[in-house]
Amino acid sequence: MTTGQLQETSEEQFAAHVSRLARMGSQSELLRLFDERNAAYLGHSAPAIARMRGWLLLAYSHETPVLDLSDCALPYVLEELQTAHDAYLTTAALICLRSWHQPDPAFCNALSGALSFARGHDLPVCTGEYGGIGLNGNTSPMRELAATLHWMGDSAAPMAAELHDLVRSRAATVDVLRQIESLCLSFKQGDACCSRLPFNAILGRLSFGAARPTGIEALDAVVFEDQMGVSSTCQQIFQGHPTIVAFFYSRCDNPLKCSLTIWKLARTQGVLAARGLASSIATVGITYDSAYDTPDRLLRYGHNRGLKMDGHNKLIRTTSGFAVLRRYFDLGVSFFESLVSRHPIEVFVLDRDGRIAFSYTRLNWSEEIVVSDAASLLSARQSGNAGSLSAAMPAPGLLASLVPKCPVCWAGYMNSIGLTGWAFATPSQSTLLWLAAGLLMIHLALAFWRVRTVGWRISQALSLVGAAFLAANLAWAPKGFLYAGIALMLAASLTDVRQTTSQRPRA
Amino acid sequence: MKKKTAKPAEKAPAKKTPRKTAATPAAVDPTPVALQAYAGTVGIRDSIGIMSDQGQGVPARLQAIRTVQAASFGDPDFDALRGDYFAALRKLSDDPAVDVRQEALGILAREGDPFAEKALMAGLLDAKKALVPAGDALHYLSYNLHAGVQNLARSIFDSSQDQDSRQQALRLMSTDPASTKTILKTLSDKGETPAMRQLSAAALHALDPKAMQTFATKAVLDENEHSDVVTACLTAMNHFGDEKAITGNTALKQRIESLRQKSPAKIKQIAKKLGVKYGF
Amino acid sequence: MLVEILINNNSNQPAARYLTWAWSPCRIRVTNPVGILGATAQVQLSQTALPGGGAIRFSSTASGAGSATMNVTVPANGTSVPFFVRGITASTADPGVRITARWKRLPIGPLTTVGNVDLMVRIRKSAVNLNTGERNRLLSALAVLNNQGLGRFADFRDMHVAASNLEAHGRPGFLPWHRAYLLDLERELQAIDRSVALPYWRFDQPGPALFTPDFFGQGNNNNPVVLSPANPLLFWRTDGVTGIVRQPNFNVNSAPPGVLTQAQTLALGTAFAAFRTMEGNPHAQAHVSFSGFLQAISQAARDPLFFLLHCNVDRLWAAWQKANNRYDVAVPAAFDTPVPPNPPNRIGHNLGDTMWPWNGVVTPPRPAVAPGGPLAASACVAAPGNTPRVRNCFDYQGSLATANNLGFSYDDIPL
Repeated sequence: MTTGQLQETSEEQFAAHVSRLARMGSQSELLRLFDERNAAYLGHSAPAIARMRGWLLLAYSHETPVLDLSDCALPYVLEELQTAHDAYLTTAALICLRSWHQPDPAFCNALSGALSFARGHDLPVCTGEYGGIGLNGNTSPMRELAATLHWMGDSAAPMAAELHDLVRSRAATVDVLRQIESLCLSFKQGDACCSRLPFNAILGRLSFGAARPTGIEALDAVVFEDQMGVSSTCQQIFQGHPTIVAFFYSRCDNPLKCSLTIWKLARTQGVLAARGLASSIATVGITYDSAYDTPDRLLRYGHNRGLKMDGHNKLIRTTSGFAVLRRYFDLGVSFFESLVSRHPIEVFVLDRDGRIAFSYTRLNWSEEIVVSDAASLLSARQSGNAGSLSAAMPAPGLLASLVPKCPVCWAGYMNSIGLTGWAFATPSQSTLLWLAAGLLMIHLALAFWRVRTVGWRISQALSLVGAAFLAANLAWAPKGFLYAGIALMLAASLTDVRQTTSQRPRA
Repeated sequence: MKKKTAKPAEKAPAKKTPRKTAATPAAVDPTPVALQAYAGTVGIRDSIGIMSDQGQGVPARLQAIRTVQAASFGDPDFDALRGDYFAALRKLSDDPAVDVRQEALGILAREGDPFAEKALMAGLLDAKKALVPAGDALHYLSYNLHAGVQNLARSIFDSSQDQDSRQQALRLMSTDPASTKTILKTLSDKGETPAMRQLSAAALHALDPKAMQTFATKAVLDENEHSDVVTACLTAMNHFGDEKAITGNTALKQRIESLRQKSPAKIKQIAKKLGVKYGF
Repeated sequence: MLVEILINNNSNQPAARYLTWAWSPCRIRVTNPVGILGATAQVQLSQTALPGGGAIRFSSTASGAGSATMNVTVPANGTSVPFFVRGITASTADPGVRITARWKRLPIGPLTTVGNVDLMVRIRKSAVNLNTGERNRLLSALAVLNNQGLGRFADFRDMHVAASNLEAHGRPGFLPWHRAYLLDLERELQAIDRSVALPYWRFDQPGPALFTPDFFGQGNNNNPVVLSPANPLLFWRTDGVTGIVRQPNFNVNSAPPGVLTQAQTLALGTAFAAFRTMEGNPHAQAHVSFSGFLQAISQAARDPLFFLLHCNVDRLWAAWQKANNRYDVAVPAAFDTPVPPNPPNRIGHNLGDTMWPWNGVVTPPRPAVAPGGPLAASACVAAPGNTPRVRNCFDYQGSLATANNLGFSYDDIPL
């Protein structure tokens, strides 16, 4: 059975398929199943999808040797922990995380979410049984959290205060408390300050720049209604200014997803106001649940979360054309009966023409970064050239690009490094030249290291040839080699991004 | 009571004893519970043992369950034993004693336990697997709107003859905008019980306040409408009514005025409040 | 001559004209000096019971028993003169008492009325002692606050969920947190109907009147409680579902079994560390004496009876404070502060800590969201402020300082 044949699959068929893929070590096939839009989830309720995804996560540990967790799968694991809401999924994600090649303090943010959840929901989980809900549970979220913290070792030091509180409160079984207590004793002084870049600044954020040509005219068929019952078109809402768009629905049962998203949207309004951008950048929340989230409900939901709502800032629903909207944003939402059955966190920044410029999905986003990204669009040009592409990758992205992460950002940072080929055009600035050469070396090294996970690609060949042209220009070759080298590096960048975004699920 | 076309009715679960009703609450063990504030580890462990022991009397087992459930409200020793407690509750979900079964499933459902949800769903889909009557299963599943039971609730509402089941089904349908027409139809049906119609009024008001306003106006103007329904409609108008729609309707105002003068006591009282509130 | 009387020092706000057992600061001043001979005028303050009933006492200081009438010398130039009033008998409707200021133009002439103000002695009472009017106003206010799931009540429901458990339970801040929680809700109810005070359910005594269709509903197994069609709680909606589910596991003509009596609760200990174990019994025991929403922390706040249950829990704390003189947080036995070298309590459970959600803090270890915003303000009192600290919840009647007065009293716990 292929992934394409998984439409209208029963849970039993899904489980068998996943087990088979795990035995075969089919990483890319397993990865496809993480995407909420996968047809396998059609016709399944939220609890059923939770069982399916839990089994999928556990697939990484079921076989011997355990499958390595790939870069692309990591966001899905961290998502289940950061927005922990289900004992089985949380347990499975904690087990799965240990398949990652090494602990990282940046996981603490997500593990903190799992700890908060596990403290009040330490239900028995049977990992050997599909769905985890046999009568004889062999583990629990707290047990697996302790095991994962043990695996983290010193990398868990940023969580020292929470762990001490857990031990002091006796909020787990004796054996779990002992394990955590001994971990806490092992933390060295000063470990708590050694966390690396927070994950929410790295993963889950995508910049499209001018690579996403679809404009707001694609939404012409959509009619919106806001919290005051006023109907509007997409042009009226999104055109003429950058817009921060967040998806939600009022009946979301995970307070760390939709409710928190709108709370954060309200805080984003505060950040905009503090930076004097409130009149230049709009904020809009769009509900997935158009039939139930009537204007009255939208108004109350926003008001109860401190959201300012006016002509520029709204909560809206679609009164027609939701399918078009869904396609435009490539939403990861699924439905069962009249309710949403599954969705990731989905926040976007649209440019003045309503094109998607940035997306932040799955993991918690930073209000400051979103505002900075939206603000960058106030001055960015709209044409599709390298300048605007680089303008769409501000400093945090470049900084982030120095640390190995998932392929989405690999594409991003590699390409930004590759684009420093322009520095070769100014050989008189020797410091810059050495820096550019160094970055180019890093770019090539990382590009070929990725062969391990994604295989050979044309972009790597282009990078190699482009680097050769640049080196030749430096040594002896005429200017033409320089321009050819830059063009080849640019082509490598665009090809890699295109290949990466078309082949992977939204991370 | 509304008569329904005979359809395959849900079968009663295999193990069934008369359920307690509001008029006859379950007998409680007369032995006083040890008067202490917290149960503590020993108390919780002992209670888990008692609740799981089918040799103990039902009142003692229920008391034991409640002792542990009380510990969940802040007993410092509870968290360490939560897993054992839930494991024990899951085992009680098919206990021969119906009250114990109901208590266990109720607690599991309120805590969002997926084991209980799955078992209850299975019982609704296959009567042979039913642990509790359909109405109770629907109620427990209503604690998780995402359990995926709205279509099933609609089907039970249409086909069941049991009023408890239909009431619970209607509660779940009140979460589904697609059920608005059915709810309005139920509210309008004078053959339905007053209790069902009152629940429908509340459900309709939540899903479509304008439709409820329209119905309420019609019901109040209808001299042959059941007094409980008229009362409920006036209550809705009094607290959540659309002022313009009410004060702008001359016939309605006149009717309310006449109800203020002559009507059953409850209706008269609310009609007076409406008059004061809207100034007529 | 005319005078203006300001209750709770608030310039003419009708919302300020509510008294408890605590001394409320008031002011009187001349607004029209015509007829006054000399620099001052002697004004007599007296009271008259209105249909709402109640009785008050006057005093020139915030202490002592006070008197039924009082003479005040007011400057003719309009400078205000302070005095104090407090309630001694509760009102049942608003207004309940009229303060009348009278003055003699001539030493041997009659007294003429120169000013008056109507007020209410608004007290938290046992729910079973509410009259029909009080009951109906409470139910109406609750229903409007809920507004079929669309109202502000949703915030109160969202404050008491599994994710916020550590902020409010199992630790010393349990009682102060719930005191602030109830106060916030009560003030929101009073914004709808100023005459409403939160009543309490005395769970160690029979209360059959509470569990009737006209009040909080009659148990109906797993079905929504049976409510009269005139009862606005018929439209109660939480978590997207209509109805209140509450089945007593006891005969409502008796008290729930196994619940500590008031005497037993007060006897738990004279130190707060011992007394606060009442969170287990009677508090939790009262919760689990029902099947339904009340039986689980994560669902309990869906049932409006939850607030009456907790009002009694708070009343028991107030009774304990009275019996043991535990209003001053400087007294170690008034709270449960760990003694060094023991570490402090979890954040939110130390005297100086602000309390979630009113503090708006959403960074770990606090929950990720803070529903409801700052604590509702009152026109009557300034305390505890919109981001209360644990320490602000102790001297609730201003026994140590009038500025600490939180604006509520219990019918059976005097000042």
